[in-house]
Parts: sequence; structure tokens; C-alpha cells
Amino acid sequence: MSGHRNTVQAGKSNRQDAVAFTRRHFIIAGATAAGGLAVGIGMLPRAAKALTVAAKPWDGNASSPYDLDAWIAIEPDDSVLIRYARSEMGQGSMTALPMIVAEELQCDWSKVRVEYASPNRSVRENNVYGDMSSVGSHSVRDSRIKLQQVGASARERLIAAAAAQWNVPASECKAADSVVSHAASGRRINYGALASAAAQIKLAAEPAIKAPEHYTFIGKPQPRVDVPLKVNGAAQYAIDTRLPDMVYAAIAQCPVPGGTLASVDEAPLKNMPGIVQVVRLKDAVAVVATDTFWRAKQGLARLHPEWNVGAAGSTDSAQFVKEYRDAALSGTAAVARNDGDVDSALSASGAKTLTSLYEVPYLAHATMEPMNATVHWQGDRLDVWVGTQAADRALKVAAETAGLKPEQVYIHNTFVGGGFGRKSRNDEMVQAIEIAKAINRPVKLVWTREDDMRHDRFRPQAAISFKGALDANGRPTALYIRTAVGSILRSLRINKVENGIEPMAIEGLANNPYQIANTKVECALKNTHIPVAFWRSVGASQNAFAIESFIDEMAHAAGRDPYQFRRAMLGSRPDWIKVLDTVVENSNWGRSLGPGRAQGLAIHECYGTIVGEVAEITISPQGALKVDRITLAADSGHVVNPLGFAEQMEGGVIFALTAALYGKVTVKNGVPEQGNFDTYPMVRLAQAPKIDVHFAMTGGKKWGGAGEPGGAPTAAAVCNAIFALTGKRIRSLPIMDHDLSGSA
Amino acid sequence: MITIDVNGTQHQVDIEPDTPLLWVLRDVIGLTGTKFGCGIAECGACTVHINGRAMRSCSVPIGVLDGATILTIEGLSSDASHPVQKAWVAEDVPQCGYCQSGQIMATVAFLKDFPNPTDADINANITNICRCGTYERLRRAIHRAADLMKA
Amino acid sequence: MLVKLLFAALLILSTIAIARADEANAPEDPGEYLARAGDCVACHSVPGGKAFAGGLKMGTPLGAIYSTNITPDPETGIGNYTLDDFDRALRRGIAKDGHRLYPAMPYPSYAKITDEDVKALYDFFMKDVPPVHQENKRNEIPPLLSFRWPLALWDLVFTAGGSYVEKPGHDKEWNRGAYLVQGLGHCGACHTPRGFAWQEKALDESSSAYLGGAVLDAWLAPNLHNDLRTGLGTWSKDDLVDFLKHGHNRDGTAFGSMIDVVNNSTPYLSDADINAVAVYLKSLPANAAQAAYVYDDATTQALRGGHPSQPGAVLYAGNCASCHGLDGRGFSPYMPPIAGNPVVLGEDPASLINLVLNGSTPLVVKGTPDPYRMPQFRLQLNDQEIADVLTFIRGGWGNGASAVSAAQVAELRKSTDPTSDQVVILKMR
Ligand code: FES
Ligand code: FES
Repeated sequence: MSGHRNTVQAGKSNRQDAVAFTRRHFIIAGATAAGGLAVGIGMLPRAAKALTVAAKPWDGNASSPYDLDAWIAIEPDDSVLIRYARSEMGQGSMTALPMIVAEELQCDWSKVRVEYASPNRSVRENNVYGDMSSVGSHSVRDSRIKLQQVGASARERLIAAAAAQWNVPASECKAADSVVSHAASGRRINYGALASAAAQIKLAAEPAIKAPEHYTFIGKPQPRVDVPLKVNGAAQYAIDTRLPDMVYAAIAQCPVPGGTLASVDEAPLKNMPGIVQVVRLKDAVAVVATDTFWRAKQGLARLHPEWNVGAAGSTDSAQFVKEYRDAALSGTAAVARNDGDVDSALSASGAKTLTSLYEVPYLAHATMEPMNATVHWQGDRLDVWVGTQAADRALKVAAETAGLKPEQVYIHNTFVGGGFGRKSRNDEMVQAIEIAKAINRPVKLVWTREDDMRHDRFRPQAAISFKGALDANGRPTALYIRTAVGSILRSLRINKVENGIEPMAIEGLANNPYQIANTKVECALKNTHIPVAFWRSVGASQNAFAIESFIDEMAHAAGRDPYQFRRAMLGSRPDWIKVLDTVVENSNWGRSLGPGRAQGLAIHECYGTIVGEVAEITISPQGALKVDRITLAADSGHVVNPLGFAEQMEGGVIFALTAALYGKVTVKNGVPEQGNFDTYPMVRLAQAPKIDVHFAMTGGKKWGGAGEPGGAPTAAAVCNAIFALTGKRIRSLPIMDHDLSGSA
Repeated sequence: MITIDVNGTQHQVDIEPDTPLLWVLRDVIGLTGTKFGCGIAECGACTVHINGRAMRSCSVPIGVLDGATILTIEGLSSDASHPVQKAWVAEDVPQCGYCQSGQIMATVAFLKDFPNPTDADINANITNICRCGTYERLRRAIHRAADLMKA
Repeated sequence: MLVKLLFAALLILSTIAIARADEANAPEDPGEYLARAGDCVACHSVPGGKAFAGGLKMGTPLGAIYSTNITPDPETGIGNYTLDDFDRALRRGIAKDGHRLYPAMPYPSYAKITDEDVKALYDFFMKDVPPVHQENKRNEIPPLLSFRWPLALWDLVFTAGGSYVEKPGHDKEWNRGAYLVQGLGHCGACHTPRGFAWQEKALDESSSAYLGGAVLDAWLAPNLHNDLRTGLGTWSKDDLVDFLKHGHNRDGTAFGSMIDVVNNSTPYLSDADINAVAVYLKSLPANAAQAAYVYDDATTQALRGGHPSQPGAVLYAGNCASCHGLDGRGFSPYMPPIAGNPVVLGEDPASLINLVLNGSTPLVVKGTPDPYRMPQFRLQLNDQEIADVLTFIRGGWGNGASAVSAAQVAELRKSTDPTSDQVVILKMR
């Protein structure tokens, strides 16, 4: 159907029916689409039982007749609909979160269907879904208790309904596999038959939720619920939205971020068929065309707008490198941590000291699905189809942009073709709404790859300086770190960061667990006109590379094995030690790999999860580097879906490896230079290492994230291996900028 | 007017001849399983079969396709039963899934030429990008699909 | 090769202050038309800068020089030039203050321009081009070589002098073509090999060297004679017309410096003039007796069977075949064929290496960018891989051209810069 529904109805493609839709029909269906992305677990080819129920998504004005509450609907045939209030962008929480509900609900997993929760419903029903964002690897961590509660409440209400029907005490009834049973009488009744009665029941008190040691379902690997839709083209992404009368928009944005549109001559579009309108925005110009996006894009290509770019138009990367370097090495900075007396330890007699500077460039997110949004503006109602990492925030922004009340706005979240932090800010949606208001027709705006890469909100550029001291026995006595990096919070105007210390700027640096008596960490925030934002693993994406490389430098200076050197400094952190030991055991650490090959080790904690990696590399005599294998051990405390967790570790490694090997966005005349995958290359199969994931879970109170931590140590592990093999220390990324020929 | 056969159905397309097949499939015919990723034949998200060969549809102008037979992900099987699709499900390959139509179409064509692929064959011939980094499982799934096709 | 950068600097990334696109319907100004034909704007502007304000860096064997401001600004441009001053600079290479221009300014070719056309150009520059106050940049020629007096000698030896005179025995159309090609079009600046003092070896068709193909800026500007394999022998007159009008035809696509020529010059010529140029070029005899190219299907078959033996074949299948086809035939006119393409068959692989390393800048025909472009592989393939794939391409489908070495690729990798995918079009007024 028209992009607003992902269903698994018997594999038949009904997308072509879009034109047959009347507008009225569409609007009703569109409204339901807010919760209309339904994924039936029972439809998995590998599951024995087929699911036949058609969930009735919430229609925007009333609740479904089968709703137990905003989260769960159970239909008479027992199918269970679980509403998912985050965003599925590949990180697997559309599977993990319903697993948490199912753990408590005691339902038959093969009867579960999942659909996106409606941000509009959340607005109307007192913020029932709460925070709907998928950022910071927090979906499981921040939803778990609530979702366990949701499942447990529903279960107890189903039990109460059965007990009332049988007139027995609820305490004598048990729920399992979507059936409530009463052992004494042998009576059994399916959830489906209880749902409408259960929906009327109010519990006197919320039931207790299970402690992790009582889980029977959480922790068991489950195939992802969205996979079947993603092997036959059925999964609907925002870019797949098709509406009746829809037109297409292509956009040219000021090439220098922050600049504005000066003028544009529309004459070249005169007499061009299919052109609907040229829409001027403050910093962009869009061409709207009928029939295909291509037509809009080709129309736009004929326009050659002029821009006001200001002083930013004469900046370049060389200048930025110097500015960050200067800020890392001189001037003042805010102190984020200060243990002992670093200065005296560094100048103590007999101390062996080291200094180093690590540097990283801007990076683009380059999600596989470029930014796009489809908007249907009807004056008093706004429907938006957009791949967003924060549908609730998108709704607020959309309402502001359109000048509507939040309850008049319907965000239809879709599968997201990669987020990595980019899609928590929906710049494309704001533009699409402005265009839709100007033309008063449903419109789909698509950014080309070049638009997407050059108008990103980038991973900040940074320079990080280190000083270290070792005593005569090679024991570390001082560690001084200063990072000079772009402030994400200032760039996004979330916070001015008045004390000069931004949490993501110093994460992994200030809270590093190495026991070094004199430790000082400083933060110098510095922004250019290039906008920066969250990028998968955020601060860890540069900080892990820097600190884990420098620790390796210290180990080398101390003449110690990098594993033993680290282990000796981790006395207070048994979880770190377990990860280190696990990765070392499973990687044959220390074994000779033969000529041209070597290993490197790194470990980092990111979003509550500790990941250790050993990289095994080969360098050819011509200097060609191949990362052959990454052995990885992780501790997130607990894990909901080990299969999904392992996949995230693997994906995180590849994402970080791309950055380590090739990632670089440079600026010339104020313009980000790289525009597509030829200039911003990606790791492909030929460069992809074998990745072995090992669990080193320590349980307890800890619930770490999965989406981001996997890549944190990768660059350092690879660079430490390069050093082990060649003696060449890589202190700036990407690695491709360094000549490794003749060094192996 | 250009006539193409897409998944067994004839379509008459009247459009500027420089329009890439990708946009004809997605915007004119309405088959959105084929994805736009780069537009310059670098990523493979738009891979379809043209006359039996895997091609990147973003870089094939419709003007050169009169009479061509095209297979997209939607036409690969009616019920996701193609061995490559089964292997993908069994190995739980997709993450965001956006690249996967292209990965699957590239693999289906590849396995015709390489029924017993080595890792080196895979590396050299499956050059599609997966930004989510599903390569570990992708590789396993390609081998599994090769086995399934023999069974 | 010392000659680098000439024209190449145009490819810098920028869309700022780019252009008025469709001038097809603009009222014809004869001087503007001639300035188009001479492609003055390509050298006398920088991307993002104002048209004709100069500043483009060009490599010469002596060192880098910068093109000058030729807007009518009285202080920094040519606002004080009389028609005579203008004429001396244009046709004789002598600036108003008496200093001699370096021959990067193709005045040996421009010498052939008629008096009438010089006047029209002068009027255009003085009246229609907006003045821009922009100081000229100092050239970077080493002091020892910067004395300009030897240029007088150079001029004496290497410039023929005198406007174009119609050749008897040829019709009007041919003569018009010859005038455009040899004069304003200054095609020889790239396509004619240069001698020991960087002079073009010939200035008209009386010598076989004229337009015989040359390497400049790490591009091979192909032989425009009618040689069957390495020249344009297989192109019909209509193919040539197609190429000049659209930047591509069934057999090939413009690349390198020719992109600037297409973007700023040839499509703006009248049909009659384009025809004349084609007629003239088709009259250039083949320099060598070559057997015509014959397509050989064996390469296609080997690629289709999987496991082709050459390493380059595998790279071709993975990186090139989607656009250029397993059959090497491309999707002309959008993606050029590789099989039988004169550029692929040429002796010097410089252009091929350059294209694979650096990709191509988009063609912009009268303001509309070409929908397809060649991506760059500089970051994705190493020297050996590029050598392998090019050796395969040059040997495949019956192309029969020589192998490419990793060393050749390495050299060009160092001396060339990647092209930009961003479109730069210079407004002429
Ligand atoms: S969209 Fe066609 S290859 Fe990327
Ligand atoms: S699964 Fe997301 S790009 Fe491949």
C-alpha cells in the first residue's frame, strides 16, 4: 500500500494499489498508519504456525476494540499486537523490546505482531509512550522496566478476567503460552477469549516484575521480527511512500553550512514539462515535479542559485586542523577530572615521559537510505512519513514548523534505512513541510547522496593531546589528556555548555578506569561553521582511538605486554578484567602470526557496555593493509536478544573500521568536499574482517547498550596492530592517509 | 515509448530516455523494493536483473532498455522461497535492510556464474555496500544459499 | 611530463556564483558568440570567481602562471585597452604595457582571427562583460626564466602570423571549419603535440602533426585525424556533430579538459558552424594505415562464465561492468563503450588512467548537467589493481592495445587531483 503500512499479508505486493485509493480512504488508512507498521512474528517462514489475524491499528480517534491498553491488543484468535515505541533502524530493538513484554505477558511468541506506536496517540493520551527516541543505545536500557511492567500488568489482568469468569481466586490461576489455566479444576482459557474482559479490569496494585535471574525468554536468541520483510522488498521505508497526487521535490541547499539563498533564476525551467513549482527556502531552493524524483532532480540541475556564504566561505580543513591542534596544545581549557598532581608527576625525577597528539576529521553518517520525507499538508492536519530516530520529537518539530497543535500532526514512522544518529534531527522533514505548505499537494522530498553527505551534521573534528609518565619500574604515574573538539550540544542548540565541559566530549577519557594516581582530563570546546551531531558511539568514536592508542604507547615505553599493562591498572574493575581476559583467551593473544601479520588490542566502555577487541592484520610489502579478523568480547551486564546483540557488535566493528580506514570529510571554501561513496569509501565484503563475538556478561545491575559500543575500540585495535607490526604509530585517522609501504 | 517486461508484466513507459531504470521502477511502476543509495553505481542498493544479469539500475538509462526483461526483488519469488531469500532469513542477515534487496539480487546472479563460490569469488564479485555492516552474516548466507541451491 | 594543471584547476569544488544556464534563446551578440567559440571563460576565470576576472593557475614547463583579468576594469583589467591594444594582445601576445604573454594564451592560434572578429570580441569585452576589480596574481616562474624577452624570439620562430586566408580548392564550409578549428577554437593547443620549446608542432593541416594527438595535463587529447583505430576514422560527420553538441555520441564521451570545452563552448555554436568544424575534421587524412577495429566476443564470454583468468577481468566485473557492460558496449550515448573506443585503443593510456583514478567532472550542456558521471577509484583501487583492470580493458574485446603498468598509474596518481562531482558553470556576463 502507499508506504504507510508494513504488513506481512501473504507476501503479495499490494503497493501498486496506491492509485486505486480514494483520498478519503487514504486519509483513514493514513491515520491508522500512525500505528500501522505491523510485523507478524508468526509469519516467519521458519515458524510453524501461520498468523492470520489482521491487527486493527489505532485509528487516531478511538482505541482498538481489542486494546488491553495503549501497548497491547489481543484479538479473539489470540494474536498479540505489541506496540513498539522506538525506531527500528537495524539495531534490532523492534525484536528486543517486544521480547521484554512477552517475557512477562507469558504469551506465545509465534502469535506476536509488532507495530509502531503512534506518537499522535502519545500526545493525546498523556504521553503514554514517553520518550520514543532511539539514540544513545538506550532503547532496551530505558524501556526495560516499563515494558516488563506493561507485560506483567496485562498478564495479571488476563488472569483476573479468567478468575472472575471461573469464580476462583486469581492466585490459583497461572498464565503461560497465551493460556490462563486453573490447575485445581483443569480449566484453561485462551488469551483471545479474555482480552475484552481484561481490558475492563483495573488492578489494585501493579504486579511485581521479574528479576533477571527468573527470565525464561529474555536472553534466548531470537531471529529478528523484521527480517522476513527485508528479503522480499516488502519493508516500507520513508522513501517508499506513495500517495495519490503526490509530487516529488529535489533540493539544493547552500553549499556552505549556515549560508543563505541569495537569488535563483527560474528561467531555465520555462517550458520544461512536469515542473510544478520552484520553492525558495531560507537556505535552499527546491524544484517540485510530477511523475518521478528524477524529473525534479534534473530540473533542479538546471538552476544555478547564488548563495550568501559569508566568511565561512573561505575556510578550509588545513585551517581547522591547525585550530584544533592549537586548542589541544595551548591556551586554557575546562578541567573535567583532576586526581593527584599531574604536573609534579610528569616532572618527577626519574620519570619517563611521553607526549602525543591524536587527530580525527569530520565524519559523515552516510546512512544507506538518504534523508527523505513525504508530507501531506491539509491545513488543519499534517501527515508526515519519515524515517526518524525520535518520532515524538519529530512530531513537536513538525507541529511548530506547520503552525499546528501537536494533536493535529501524525508522524508515520517507517523502517529507517540506517540512523547512526543522523535521523534524530529531521532537517529533511522540516524542509518537506515548508515545501508542502508552499505547493499545497502531497510531496516527497528526497536528498541525493551528495545532499546527504554534504549537508550532514557531522561527527566533530578533534585533536586530543596526551602526556604520560612511567616510573623507573615502568608503572604509570601520570596521565594528562586534553581534548579539543566540536561541541555537539552547542551545534544543535540544545545547551550552551556554560561550564565548558560536554559529557560526550570527554566520555571514555575522564571516566577511564585505569588506576593512575595522577590523572587530569581537560576539555576545550571549539566549533566551526560545520554543524556537528551525534554519530554512532559519539565521543567514543574519537576518544577510544586516542586513549587506547596512547595506553599502547605507554605499554610499549614500559616494555610491557599491552594486555598485562592494562590489566595491572584495572584493579577496581573486575568487569573490565573479564572482558580483557575473554578477548585475550579467544584471540590467541601473543601468538606469532608469521611475517607481515600482527595483533593489536584495545578496550573501551561506551553506553554502559565494555567491549574489548583484538585485531589481526596483514600488511603487504606494498603497504596494503588488510584487517583479517576481529575477536571481540563484550559485557553489557545482561542481554535481551543475544543474536541481535552479536549482530550489533559486528555492525559496529564494520562501521568503525570504515571510519578508521577511510573516513574523512574535508572542507574547502567552506564546503564539505566528499559527496558520494567514491570519495567517501566504505568497507565492503572484500575488506570485511572475520568477526568473532564472545560474551563476557557480568550481570548484576548493569544494562549496557548494544548499538554503538561494538565499534568503539576498533580503530585503536587496528592501529595498535599496525604499530606492533611496523613500529609506526598512527596518530591521525583515516589510516589510508598514511603510507605503510615497506614498513612491514 | 519504451516497452519493458518487469517481473513478467509488460509496461509501456513514456518518459525522458535519460531517466535511470531505478526511478522508472520506483516512481512510475511503483516497485519500491529496489532502493536508491548513491545514484552512481557505487553501492548496489538498486541492483536488479536486466536480461538475466545483475545491473545497478540507477545507472542504466531507460532509453537503452526497449524490449528488456527485468527482474526485481518483488519478482524473485512470490513467497520469499528463493534459496537466497531462505538463506538470508536463516542467517538473520538484514539490519536496517535498506541494502538487502540489492545484496540479494546481486547474489542470485552471482551464484549462477559461481555455483561453488570461494570467499575470494564473493569478495571480488559482490561489491555492494552495507552501511550497517552485515558482511559477516552476508558471507555465511551466500555460502548457505549456494548449498541450498544444490540440494 | 612537466605540463600539469593547465585547465585542470577549473575542476575545483564549488557551486557558488555559477550560472545562467540556458542561453539558447538569448539574443545573439556576435562578440559573445566568438568568445564562446574561443572558450575564453574557461581559462580567464576561476570557479566561484567572476567571469573573465582571471586568476586560474596553469602549469607550464617554466612554472605556474595565472590567467589575467580581461574584464573592462580600468585598473586591474583591460578597461584602458584600445582596440589596437586588444588586438596586439589577442593576436600577437603583447600586452598594453609591452610585456609579452606566455604562450599558454593561444595567440599563435588567435593570430588567425579576422579583423572583423577581433573588433566584435573587443566590443563584447568592453561593453557587455561587467568590470571586476581584481588584481592579477604574480606568476611563479623562477627568476632566471622570468625574463620575458626570449618570448620575442619564441614568437619570431613559432608563430606564423596573419589572419586566416581561405584555402582555394575547398568550399566555404570547409574553410569556415578550418578557421574555427585553427583560430578561435584553438583545438591544436591540446590536440597537437608540442615541440622542444613547448610550441605546437604545427598550426594547420599542412602537417600530419597538426591535431595528431598529444598528452597534456596527464590527459591524452586524442588524434583527430581519420586513423581507423586511434583516430576518428570510424566516426561519421554526424558523430562529430553529435559529440560537439552534446559532449557525447554513440562511441564516446568528453573527458578531461574537453569537458570545459563542451561546458562552455561547442554546444553554443550554431549548427552551421558545428557542421563546418565536423567537415573540416573529417578532411584530415589518416596518418597511419590501420586495420579497422573488429569486436571480439570472447572477452564477454569469459566474463560471463565466471572465473576469467586475468586479475583485471575480475576487477572489471566487480567495478566497471554495471555501467560499461560485460560486453564492453556501455550504454551509449550515456556511458561510453569500451570496446573499440579510440581513446581505449590509443597508444598512451594517460587518459584512461586519469579517468579511473579521478573520475570525471559532469558535462554540462547549455546549463544542464549530464545525468551520469564516471566515479573516481583513486581511494578504492591501488596502482596494481588499476593497472590490471586497464590492461584487461585495453586487451579485451579485440581492443589490442598495450598493457598498463602499476608504475604508470603511480606516477599519475601523484601528479593528478581527483575531479569534483560538483558542477561549475561560468556565467559570461
Ligand atoms: S543507487 Fe545504484 S548503485 Fe547505488
Ligand atoms: S542492512 Fe543496513 S545497509 Fe545493509
